[in-house]
Amino acid sequence: MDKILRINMSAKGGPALKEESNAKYPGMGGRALTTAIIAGEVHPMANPLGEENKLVIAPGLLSGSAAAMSGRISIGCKSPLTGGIKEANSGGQAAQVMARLGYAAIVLEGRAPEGELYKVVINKDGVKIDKAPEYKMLPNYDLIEKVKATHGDKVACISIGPAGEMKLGAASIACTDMEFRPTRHAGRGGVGAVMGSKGVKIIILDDAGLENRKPADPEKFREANKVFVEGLRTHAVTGSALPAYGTNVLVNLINEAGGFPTNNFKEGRFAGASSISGETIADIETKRGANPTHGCHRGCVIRCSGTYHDKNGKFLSKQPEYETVWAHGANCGIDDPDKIAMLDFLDDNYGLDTIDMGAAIAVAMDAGLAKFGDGDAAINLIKEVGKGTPLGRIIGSGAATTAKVFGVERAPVVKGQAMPAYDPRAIQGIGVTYATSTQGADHTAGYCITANVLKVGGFVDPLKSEGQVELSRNLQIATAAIDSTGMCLFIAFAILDQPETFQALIDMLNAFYGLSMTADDVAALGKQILTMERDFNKKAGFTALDDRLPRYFYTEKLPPHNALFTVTDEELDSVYNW
Amino acid sequence: MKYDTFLLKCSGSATGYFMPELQTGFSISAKEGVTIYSFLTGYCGISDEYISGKVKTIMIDGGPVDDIFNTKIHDKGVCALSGAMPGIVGAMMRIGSPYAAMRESITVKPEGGDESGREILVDVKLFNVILADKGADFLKRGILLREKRIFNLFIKHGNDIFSCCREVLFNGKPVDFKKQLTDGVSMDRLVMLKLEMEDER
Repeated sequence: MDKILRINMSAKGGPALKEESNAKYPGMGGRALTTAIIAGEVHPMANPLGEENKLVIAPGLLSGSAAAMSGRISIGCKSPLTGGIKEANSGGQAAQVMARLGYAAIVLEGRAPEGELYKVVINKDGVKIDKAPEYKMLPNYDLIEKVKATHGDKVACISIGPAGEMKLGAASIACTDMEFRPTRHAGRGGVGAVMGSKGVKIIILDDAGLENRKPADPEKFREANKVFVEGLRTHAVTGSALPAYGTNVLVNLINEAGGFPTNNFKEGRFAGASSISGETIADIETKRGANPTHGCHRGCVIRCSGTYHDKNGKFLSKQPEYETVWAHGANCGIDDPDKIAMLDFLDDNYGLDTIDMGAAIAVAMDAGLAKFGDGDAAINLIKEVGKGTPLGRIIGSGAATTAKVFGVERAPVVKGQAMPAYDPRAIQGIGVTYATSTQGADHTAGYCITANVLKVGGFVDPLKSEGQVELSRNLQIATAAIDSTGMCLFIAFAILDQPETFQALIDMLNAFYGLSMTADDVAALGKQILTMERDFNKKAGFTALDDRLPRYFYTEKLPPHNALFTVTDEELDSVYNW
Repeated sequence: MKYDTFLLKCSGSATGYFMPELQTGFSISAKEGVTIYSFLTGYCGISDEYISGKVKTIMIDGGPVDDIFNTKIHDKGVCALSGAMPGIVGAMMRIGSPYAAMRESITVKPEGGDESGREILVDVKLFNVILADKGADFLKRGILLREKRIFNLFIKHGNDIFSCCREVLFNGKPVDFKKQLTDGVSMDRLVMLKLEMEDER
């Protein structure tokens, strides 16, 4: 994995390919690499959908190896949704296959002539790029069926749906899963719109005839991987809760805490929570012959994904994730799992971020376009996006645009990106991350390792109320580093509680690359990534005023705790002081 | 206090129909002034080993608790039990979480309370692994529910539930729940629901 493939879509005579060494980016993979290339090569004031922007696709440092859980792929660009730097990542098969093909990154540059659409095919014999008018405006599932007919189902695909081709702000990039379905998405920030602006519909990755990447020290690597897997299997979250119920297991708990945003962030509890909880949906899946325990890529030992069948026992969608169940469920007042699963399928099929779509539909409901709780109306609104009607294009541009167009004050966004499934009035610490993340409102920006394991920023006293700023800072640093390994973020739960599992991850990296990194080096990498991202955003025009929650979170009390967001501006401004 | 009791003599497969009720919440009778720990071990029949090993989040009235040995339950309080949960917010909610500061504003802290020893009712909610592990035990010991919830459940899933039951008794006598519904029972009163799993004898 020592090559970078650049495809210039603006070249005279059609797209031009160029391969180069990745020696300029030592020790960088995933988010570290996407950020380094974007920050170093894209003008911060570039139009996100213009020729100057780039789309960088990078597997993690351990992707394509025998390391468990190493199947995340990072996709970076300047975001059309936030106007800042963006890294969105996805599971599925693409990271493993791309890494085995030897590419540390694929960089899409320039812009294809308007109306032209291409497919890229990469295999052990090289790279081929061809016009693909037959794929125009195909939804992801239909697209993948066509690819199956020509390339079989052993390849991995990275694709956009109609939303990406329409360059909508909530457009995602899909990656196929183990069953060759386009169910895993780099969802956030409109990365699909940037791929659409380049004129690339699909990248087909074929690793036939290639083997796993080999570590520098196979024995040490094998031993570290064994300890790592054992840590995941014995931990209560990664070994039990996630496999049994998926990420949606969080519904009951967050609802009970009064932090489950309901009816466009008006309340913190949803009366229909038990109807859409992970426990209930897993039970439905089992009764209908679906599979509630399933990995999204080969080498996954947590297996938190699943499949969801309709009432007739036919595949309807993947098991909707917690964020999706919240966004299309409680946030829209919908308590019917079948409707939520249909909305999930439509999002995947058209290529849309489920979080921003759920938030946009809730805003539309506040505007009177539909009633809260009306699942069929929500489905019709998503279908408008698929059809590309003017209303659909507004909704598909995300919650911030929808609120502006319809004059709705309650737009739960930071830097233009919709908040995920935790109300920051009830759970103040997550609000610090929403406000200050370089990515816009993002729950995964602070998802990871305890500060006291990484020892970044000193030991944090959990009993001090002001600790939430320090914790958010340290979590953001740690997450940035983990996003560079290609490891699924869910390893964080085991790492969080078990220092030996964290050490095993570092040992794997060291054994694979022949390094001698320490936890301090991992923290330094996280800081380096955030510093690059923060600098890019500053040059793109962001100021401290962009690191704030919408005003109504400070003035509208959230039942049942009647809480307000009380973290001060001074505290928010201190997050990046290191 | 004595409560009228529905007793279902059924196979273990009937428990699945009651799981949503256990998530939504049911009442357990206790004495005022007991701590959460004493409530769970003494009134809910959960062992010390299970609490320390598997119960990772406890909420009282929607607020996470860190000190279960000194925080007291109260009348009409809601006590929710969860296993270890994913995500930073899931980690924050855990008992004694290193991220506790991030949910400081809703944390429930120990404080003095009435220790009269009078009978109180506490609503209990079971989530995720706790629901899977302990749901059937609660049903066997008996849970208090508003009668209308039991009847609504019977109306919704009656055929399925009764197909798993050899006998349905109300205060020890066979009951026709449909007739009882039309007879105008007091739907707001609390009654005891118990399951006797015949295949576990």
